[in-house]
Amino acid sequence: MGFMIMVQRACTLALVGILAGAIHSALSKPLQLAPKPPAPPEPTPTVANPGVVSPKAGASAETPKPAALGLDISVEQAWELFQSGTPFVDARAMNEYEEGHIDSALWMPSEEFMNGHTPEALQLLDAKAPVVVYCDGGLCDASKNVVVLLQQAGFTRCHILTDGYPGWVKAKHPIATGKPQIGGH
Amino acid sequence: MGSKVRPVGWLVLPCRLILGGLFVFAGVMKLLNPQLFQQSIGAFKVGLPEHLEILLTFVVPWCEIAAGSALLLGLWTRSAAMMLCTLLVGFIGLIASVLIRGMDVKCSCFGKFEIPCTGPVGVCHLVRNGVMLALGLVVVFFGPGPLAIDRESTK
Repeated sequence: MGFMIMVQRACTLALVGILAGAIHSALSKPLQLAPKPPAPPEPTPTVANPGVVSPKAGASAETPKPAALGLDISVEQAWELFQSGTPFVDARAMNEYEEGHIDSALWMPSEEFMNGHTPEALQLLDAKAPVVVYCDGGLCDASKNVVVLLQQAGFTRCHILTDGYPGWVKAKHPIATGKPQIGGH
Repeated sequence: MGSKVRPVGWLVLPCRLILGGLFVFAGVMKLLNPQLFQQSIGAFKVGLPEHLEILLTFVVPWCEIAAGSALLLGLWTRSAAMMLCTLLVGFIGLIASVLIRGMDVKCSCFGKFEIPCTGPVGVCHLVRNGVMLALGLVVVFFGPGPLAIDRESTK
């Protein structure tokens, strides 16, 4: 087979892919785009209203260990971060958060980023400090979705609690129930 | 049907099926969660405008499925392999740029699955794509091998 025919056929295959992709893109529901980077945190406190949200959210900048941590972290590593005041983000649905969440966790599912909207809870986080995101563990996508959105928003030290909320509960670490105090209104 | 298969054809067959199967799987997994893939494209920070990022979110998986299916069927085999090799060279370049920039991002190459590399994009992803590129080049150079539509149509 001539080289030119080979290239022509490759281009035809590419064209099929491009057309199918363009049609699919036009027919699919709009994707959630990344929000603008959050405003730099105020010196102290980082939390806009400390009476409403856990004061732990702002205390994480001094955390000594997270630099050595990878993207995926275990329950033990998450517990150390929790004790040092690192904010936790619950990426699950509202009803799951209400039924039980990691103590002081902010509720911020990827849907909160819809159409470039900046979630309220995002304003409480420091983009340069570590933040731990979790969902139901295993193969759940929610925490990965939120982490990528956070990274696009300029967060550089995101971690995913790979065992998720079930792993945290199993380790008998502190949990809470009830509606989120920020977001979801 | 009586035409003889060259010994090298039996080397090409597994390369063709593995590469085609991997790309069809990768394309389908990306389309099952386009949000995740779009976010990964954004996290690579290659400076694309948003509308192009969204278009690529759907175009890349469909190209993978089209070329992967052609490889599996042995239809326009060399062309499909050539197209996948071109894609792989692009992916390798992207991964290399992420490594050089020291970024900590997920690739979502197989949607929620991480095969065989886990965690953020790293050297493992480079090696994996290098191996896939080698499989593709085998098909480009040696043709479809046995059990291919191309082969039947040339008899």
